[in-house]
Amino acid sequence: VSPRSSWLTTHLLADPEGVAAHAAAHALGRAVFEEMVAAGDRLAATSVLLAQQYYRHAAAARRAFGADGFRRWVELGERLAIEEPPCREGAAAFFAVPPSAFGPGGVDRAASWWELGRDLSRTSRKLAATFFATTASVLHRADGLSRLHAWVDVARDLYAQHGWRGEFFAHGFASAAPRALVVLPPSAYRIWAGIAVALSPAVREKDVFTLPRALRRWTDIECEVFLRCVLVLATESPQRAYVFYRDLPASLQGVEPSVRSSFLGVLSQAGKRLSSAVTDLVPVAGALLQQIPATERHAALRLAEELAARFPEMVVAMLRALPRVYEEASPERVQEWFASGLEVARQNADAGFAYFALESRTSIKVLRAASTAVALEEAHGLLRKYIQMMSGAPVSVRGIEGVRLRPPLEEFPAENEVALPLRVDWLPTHEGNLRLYRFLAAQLAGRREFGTYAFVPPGGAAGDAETDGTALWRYLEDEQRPPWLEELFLLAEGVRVHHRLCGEYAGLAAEGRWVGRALSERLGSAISDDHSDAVLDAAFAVVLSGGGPAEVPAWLGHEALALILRLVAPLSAAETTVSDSMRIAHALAAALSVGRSRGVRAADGDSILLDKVTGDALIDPYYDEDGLPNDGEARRQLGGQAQERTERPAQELPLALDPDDQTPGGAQPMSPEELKRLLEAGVHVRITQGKGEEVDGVGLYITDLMGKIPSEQIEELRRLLGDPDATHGRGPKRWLAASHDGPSFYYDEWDYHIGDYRSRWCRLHEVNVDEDSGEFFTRALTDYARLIPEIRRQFQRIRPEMYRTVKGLEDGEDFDLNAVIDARIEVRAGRPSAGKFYLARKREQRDVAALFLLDMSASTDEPLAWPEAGDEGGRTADARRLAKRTGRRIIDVTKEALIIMTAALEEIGDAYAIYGFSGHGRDNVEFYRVKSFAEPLSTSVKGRMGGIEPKRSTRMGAALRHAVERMSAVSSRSKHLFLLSDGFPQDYDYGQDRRSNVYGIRDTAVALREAEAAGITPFCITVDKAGHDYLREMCDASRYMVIDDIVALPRELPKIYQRVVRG
Amino acid sequence: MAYRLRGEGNNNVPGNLITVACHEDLTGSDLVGRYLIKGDETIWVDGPLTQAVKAGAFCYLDEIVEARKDTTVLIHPLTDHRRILPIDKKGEIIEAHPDFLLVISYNPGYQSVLKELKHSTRQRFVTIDFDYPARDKEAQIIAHESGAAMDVAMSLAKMGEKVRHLKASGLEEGVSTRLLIYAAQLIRRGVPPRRACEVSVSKSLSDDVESQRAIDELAATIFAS
Repeated sequence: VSPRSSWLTTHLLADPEGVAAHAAAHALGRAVFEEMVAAGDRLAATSVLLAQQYYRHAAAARRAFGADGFRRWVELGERLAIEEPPCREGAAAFFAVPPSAFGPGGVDRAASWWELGRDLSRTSRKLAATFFATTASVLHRADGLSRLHAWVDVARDLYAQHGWRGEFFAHGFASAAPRALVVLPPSAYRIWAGIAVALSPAVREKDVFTLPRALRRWTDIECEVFLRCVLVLATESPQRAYVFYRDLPASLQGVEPSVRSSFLGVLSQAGKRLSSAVTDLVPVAGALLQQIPATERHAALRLAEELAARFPEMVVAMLRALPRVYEEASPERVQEWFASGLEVARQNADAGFAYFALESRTSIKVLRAASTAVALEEAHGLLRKYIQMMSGAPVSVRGIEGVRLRPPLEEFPAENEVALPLRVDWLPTHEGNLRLYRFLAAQLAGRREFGTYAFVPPGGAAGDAETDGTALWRYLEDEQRPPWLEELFLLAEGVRVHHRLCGEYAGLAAEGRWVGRALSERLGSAISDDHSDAVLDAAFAVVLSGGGPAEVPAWLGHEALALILRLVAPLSAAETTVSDSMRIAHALAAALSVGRSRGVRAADGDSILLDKVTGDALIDPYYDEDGLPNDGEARRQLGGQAQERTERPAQELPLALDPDDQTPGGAQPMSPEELKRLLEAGVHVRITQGKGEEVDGVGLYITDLMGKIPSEQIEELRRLLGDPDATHGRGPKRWLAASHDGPSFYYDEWDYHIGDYRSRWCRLHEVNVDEDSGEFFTRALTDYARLIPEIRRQFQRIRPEMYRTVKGLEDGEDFDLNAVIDARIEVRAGRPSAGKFYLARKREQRDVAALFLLDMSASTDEPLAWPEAGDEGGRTADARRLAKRTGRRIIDVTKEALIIMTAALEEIGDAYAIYGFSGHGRDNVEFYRVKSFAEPLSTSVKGRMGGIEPKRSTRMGAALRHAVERMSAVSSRSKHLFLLSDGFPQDYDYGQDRRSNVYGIRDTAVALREAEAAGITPFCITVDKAGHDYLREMCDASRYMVIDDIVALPRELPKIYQRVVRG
Repeated sequence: MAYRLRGEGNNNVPGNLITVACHEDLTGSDLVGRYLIKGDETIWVDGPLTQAVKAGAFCYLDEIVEARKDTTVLIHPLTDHRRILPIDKKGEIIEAHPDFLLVISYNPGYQSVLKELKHSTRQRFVTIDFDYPARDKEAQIIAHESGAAMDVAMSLAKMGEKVRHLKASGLEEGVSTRLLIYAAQLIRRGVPPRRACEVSVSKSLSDDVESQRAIDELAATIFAS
């Protein structure tokens, strides 16, 4: 059998490539063809497949390399297959490369490549085969060979140096060649291979050798720096290093190359100290950099690099804080802030950490020095009072990031929590920013006053309105509403509330104009890099400024704005309600979804407004007007044309807002009829103004409005409302929040690690204690019936002599006979008398105020230990009897002690208050009201004393600070704070280390010192036998007492009180 | 009371009404009378209460809770069926004139719980509660008392109502109608409304700078200038 028949078969010739090759071979002439086929025969002796592979490119090779070159090419392939060590797969791969791939180097280039592969095959034939199969792509490049040399070196070393795993590494490495060989610089090959080794076995080499796609666009230097970082991180934690390797390039997509490169510089500077924070940084890195003002990014990264050089562990904290830092302060200020931060960090690493994370009080103070911005912190009290006065209900203020002219709605209006920006810096002066704050506060108060939350959905009766005012929120969150409805509603409602406010408060009209003018320009400049929020805010600002089209800033499209202005115009009428706003919001949503014609879009920049509203989601500008779909996609025309088309069939223009016919579904479009009805029948519509204007065609499909940021929020909120269990603790939090009926307070907390306060660290609520029927109070009085009279008597003894006689007065109740006689003698003797011969009785005031702060932590739920036999000598009969009553807990005895104390205090007439505290975490410190200073010992106070129950943790610092705050309103000369506890301060996030209670003890100690500084004498009483250990650290020995036998507390407490208060 | 004051003049006591502003140091002698030294002799001078008892006038003890409790018990024999005023120092007992009437006033729950009226004193009187008037009424009062225009009075009444929302959470006491009248008078005489509110309302209500500012902001909200 001829060897030829085995390879040059129908099989090869059935393949189009084979056919083409065969034809090309024939075309070269008989002699050449015979030579080619003879070479094929020789190869077929080794492998038929090899011969076929050869033949496919043979003609091309003959043409490209010439006769000699061709023979050399064949020889190279042949030798690869035959010579020791034979590598048939390699030879096949060699022949598989089309001759053109060798570039201008031709067969010489092929020979060099062949040399490399041949060399490698001596290490491993399999590796060489992979080499020939994967590396041909670089051959045409000028630097192709040098890259290949480096590549082969690394591959060979990988194979040789890592035992049995080496083969896998080397193979994985070689397989990745087509991309990595080109994307990475040769200098990085070895690092990359090193990463695979370092990350194994935690990460499979296959995953490492999958190069992150985004690296393609990086420069060689960036790639190398990046890979070096990964390698360094791998020494700390392979998993984290892998996350860094896999995700960082994608995260940095969109960051400009120069910034990216500086950023990588920072990371490489920080080195392995980054490791613990990698997962915090990587997903947000790109977003963080984008949030820093574009002009400041390089300066910011230079600072970060400097920090990385000195305190690498703090870099991530600073990178995360940088956007806020630049938001808070000018670039020059940031420099100063950074310089002081370095100094802080030099002295105390933890403090530096908190400083650069913008968590410490010092940090914020330094940053804000000399700033014109107004922080919520400083305006908080003012705004809270302002809103409370305007709306008549107490409020607590929640900070939100970013400023909006249309503040968000209250999710649960019954909770009386309003949201204001954490910081306002839109205007160049402090006073201006405060005015803006006030404007927002007035809007929030106005919403309450003018019934925003009394919204009743269309079709619902007024009686259906939920008393908690959440109907509005739920209506807006319904998936069936047009997207953007909430934003548009906020605009419409803002306009309405503003006009109602102006009607009621004369001072606000001018204020609104001022805000509108001051902000129109400012918001205009924000539009270029921002989205809908800024546009709608800007539209609102124009409405506020009261400007006609003449005053419209250039960046806002006239006609589009005129559309908005015209639609919201009815809301300026008196007596409008929230339903009117909702109708207008629907009208706006429909109007913005109206299709627009090419003419308008091309003619002017009006569409900018609407484009921005929709987050740049432009619609197809070439849609056919006649082909309007009939579904709910709301492609409508507005204005003149719209009115001409009012004859459209009804099914084409479904009504969405008619309360009797609410059809759920789609975007809830509004028909021209509906719109017209609104414009005409709506309150005082200035319809003439609108009719003549040519605004047809301006608009967008409402479906295109979806998918932007708000939908994410909507999604989240929908989930939150729909499924309370899926909200990650939000449900219980809400439940908690619902039981808080008072405002919340923010307190700093002392962190001894950083030697500084953590700013606004704890959020405290005042909570009412549930009353019992007064049963506990009465029972305690009965139980201690023998003790109470005794204590009363003691207290009567210390009660001051109520009146003291003062002599030598010019006027008084009675004569001082001695003085009268003296005066008489003087007169007789011819001398002038002093004339002061009256006396009076002056009240000797006992001016004491005492606050009892009760630890209501879960540990007070412990039942009392039964007294040891024979250890009862010191106890009174009462105490013995009570100690044996089963089921009594620590808290019960404490309550009894307080009840006896109140009996004594009522006797002596000192002002006193009783509060309890507990909580869970720094966001949820609870301060329980039992009795305030102003309240008399009423039935409900007695009930509340009985109702005190153990709750959760013991965050003493915040509770003490709040108690001090409460006492500051009391004007007594002598103020005392009694802290009753059963253990050391403790909370799950009280300090970084849960097991250590040092943080809590130090914070409490500082809070106690703050109390002293405020003129209040604190005294700690604990029933914890180990109390000496930590109380010694918290305060002076004369300022605490440990009660060893808790049963003795009711008897001891009045004694302690007498001693402390007298002293 | 107003009717009787207007209707019947009494020659001995001009105006037929004697007002005593009570304070902590007010003593029994201050009410009943005392001996004074005049030249070589001591003479007895009737106190305001004694004068009223004798003449059959109204005696009005303003802010009675401010006075010491031992002082207030002085009025007990006068205010029950006995209607007598014992004067210890002279050893006299005076029977009240049939027209004599005692009126006391105080602000409940004000300042301190210690300053409450003794029950035995309380239960000798009929009680009329005075709270802040409704907005319209208060505006009428302001307009009437100050002569200011009705719209100014309405704005001030609105302001009063709003400021009172802050009572107990920032302010110890709401703004009185009197202060609002002062503000109205100032406005009538040409003081800009915001300034008038500042001097007569916010500064008068509190020393707390934050509360003052909040009230000023409210004034700026209510008044256009």
